Amino acid sequence: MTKTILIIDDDEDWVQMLSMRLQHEGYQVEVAFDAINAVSQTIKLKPDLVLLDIRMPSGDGIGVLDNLRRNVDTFNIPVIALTALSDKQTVEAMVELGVSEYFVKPADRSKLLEKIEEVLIKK
Amino acid sequence: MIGLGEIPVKQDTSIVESRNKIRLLAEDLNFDSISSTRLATITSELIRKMIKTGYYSTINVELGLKNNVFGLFLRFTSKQISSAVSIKTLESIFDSVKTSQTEQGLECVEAFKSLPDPNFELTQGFVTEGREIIGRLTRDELHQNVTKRAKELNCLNEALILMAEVDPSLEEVFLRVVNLIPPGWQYPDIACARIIYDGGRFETDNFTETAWKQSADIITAGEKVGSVEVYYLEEKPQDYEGPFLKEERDLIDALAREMGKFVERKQAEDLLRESQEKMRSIFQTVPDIILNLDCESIITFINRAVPGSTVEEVIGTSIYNHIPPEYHQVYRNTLEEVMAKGEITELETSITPAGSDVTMWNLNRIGPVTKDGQIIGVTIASTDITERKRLEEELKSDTEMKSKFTSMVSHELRSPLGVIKEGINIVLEGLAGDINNEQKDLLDTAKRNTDRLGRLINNVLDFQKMESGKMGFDILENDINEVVLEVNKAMSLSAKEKGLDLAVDVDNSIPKIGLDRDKIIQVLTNLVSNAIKYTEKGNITISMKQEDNTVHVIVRDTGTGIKAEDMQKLFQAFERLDSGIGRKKGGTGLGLAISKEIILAHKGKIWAESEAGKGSSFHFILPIKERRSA
Repeated sequence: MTKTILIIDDDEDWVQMLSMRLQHEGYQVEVAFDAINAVSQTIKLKPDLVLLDIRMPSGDGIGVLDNLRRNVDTFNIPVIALTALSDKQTVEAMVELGVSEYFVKPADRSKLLEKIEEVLIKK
Repeated sequence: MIGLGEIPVKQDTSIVESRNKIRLLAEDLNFDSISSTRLATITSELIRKMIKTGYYSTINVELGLKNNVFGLFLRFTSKQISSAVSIKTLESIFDSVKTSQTEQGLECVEAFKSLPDPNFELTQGFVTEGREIIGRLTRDELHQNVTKRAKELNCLNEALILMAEVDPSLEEVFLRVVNLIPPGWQYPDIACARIIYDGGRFETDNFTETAWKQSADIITAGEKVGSVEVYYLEEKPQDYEGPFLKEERDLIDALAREMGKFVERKQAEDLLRESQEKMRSIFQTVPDIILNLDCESIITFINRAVPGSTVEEVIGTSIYNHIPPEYHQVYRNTLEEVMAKGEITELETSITPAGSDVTMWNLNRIGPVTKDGQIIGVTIASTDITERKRLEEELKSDTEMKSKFTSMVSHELRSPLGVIKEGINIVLEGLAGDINNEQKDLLDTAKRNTDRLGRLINNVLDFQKMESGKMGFDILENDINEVVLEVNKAMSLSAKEKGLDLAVDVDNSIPKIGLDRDKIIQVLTNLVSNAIKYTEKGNITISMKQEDNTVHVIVRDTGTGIKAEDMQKLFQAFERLDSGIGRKKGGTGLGLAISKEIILAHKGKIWAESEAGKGSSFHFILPIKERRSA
């Protein structure tokens, strides 16, 4: 059965590239372009995995992650974080909220794909 | 009676002077009953005691005959004193003086002759008189003796008084002293005198050189510096030294001796004045404010007026009147510390004067003032560092600005770069349809350059972190061999692609050392990739050895080598040797600068050795942490 990945990221160009790559790998890709709709989209779509951009201008990615973890429908959906920030505070917050992995942008393509596969197999 | 002059009660030097005078006189009088040295000692002891009471401002000493007793008659005149001193206190002081005199075989009479009236309005001060018996000679004997010697004594005494004056120059004094000499001789009318000193001749008006001459050398520090001469203008029959008396020989010797001392004192004073002038010049030239405080924090010296107060207004006031209250405590602590430890301390203060928005910064260096090994106060040298502070602030905000800017730009560059890179990759991998060889070639070039741009951005970020001290280090015990092998594994492919042999010379005897694994890998990767870049054929070796308390790692290649003039630029940021090649090789100009910072953060050293054309070797050493023996 095709696995669904939800990308939450406001960088449309990046999303375009990433979706193409993931579709090519055989995943179904859905996109939420802003933090505001991210949670409702996730509840609606119930993806197998969320790729979350932590630093979006439309809202704090950590906030989205927190909301996902609090919601009964989404709390156990695995999340891989992508972030431009690798400061201690952000990393600690992400780890505490149980991300499966985090990558500092621009993420190494092959490592990202490996991780996605690994998380989805575990699931 | 022979007046020995008034001795101002100032300091111990006046006691020493009076002692000398008394000793000389006693010597001249040849008293048998009491040794002259002892006499002088006792008398000056008496004077010292009286001075110590703190009530006297002048002491008048006379030598002579009173009531059949020959002795020294001392008159102590008090300062004005306050009515807080009770009559009983005064009486007890006199009693103690009397007692101690008696103990020393001296006699004090009329100790409080002019003690004030019983109502005790002590505004006039009072006089104390005492006497010291030198010898109990019979009146006749004494009278004869004294009359005979009076002239000589007077001469010497007056000369001494002149030479004791502080203000007149040496020349002025000699000119006056020379005129005192003839009256001391037996035939003053036909006597003339001359003092020769330092090329100068000081003569009496009637001076003429004759055959009847008596002279004595003026000696300072063991060397003759001049002479005193007395001539008789006509011959007088005498049996001792031509026409002169034996006593006159003693007198001229005494005069010459005293002149020697006088010259020495004047020279010392000149020296002192000269050094004072030098100090004054220094104090007025330095931009600093220099203060002396006594141990009660009272200002005893300031080198110049400060805004709002003259030097005179400042002297004698407490330092705390001149510094804002918020600094009182820290100043008090610092001064106490300096007084206790005797070490120079620095204290930075910032003061914003009322009604001003400019903060004045001062750096105060505070050091002890010692006297005979005791700390008696402090010196404060205060430098205005307002301008320096302002520049420092400017620099700091510039650096912060630069740092923010670099960080922001680098992050903003990363996102679009990621998109470009991924776009190229997708096309290159054929995910968006087939591409021909020419298209592939072009995209390969594009990809290589985006990779390079990515590295550059990472390096700039690293360097900026390093520069602002924000790069964190995670130092753990590691086996350097393992670290090197990991780098070898990662780099061997690119070496192989270029046909180069990459070898590691493992040394398992090296102990584990504390290092940040990722950062040292970064350094080694940089060194090895440089070596690959600049080597066309041959091999690259990584070797390690233990040297004393360090581990020495060497990356050696058989490449183009580095020119001597380029060696020192090697580790500087944004310096790339032979930029043409560098650009082609895809260098960022930051790799070695970052490596250097990393090694320095490990308290190590990094350097390069090379001979152009014969390859290079890059070295770094890392310290082995000293282990405590179990």
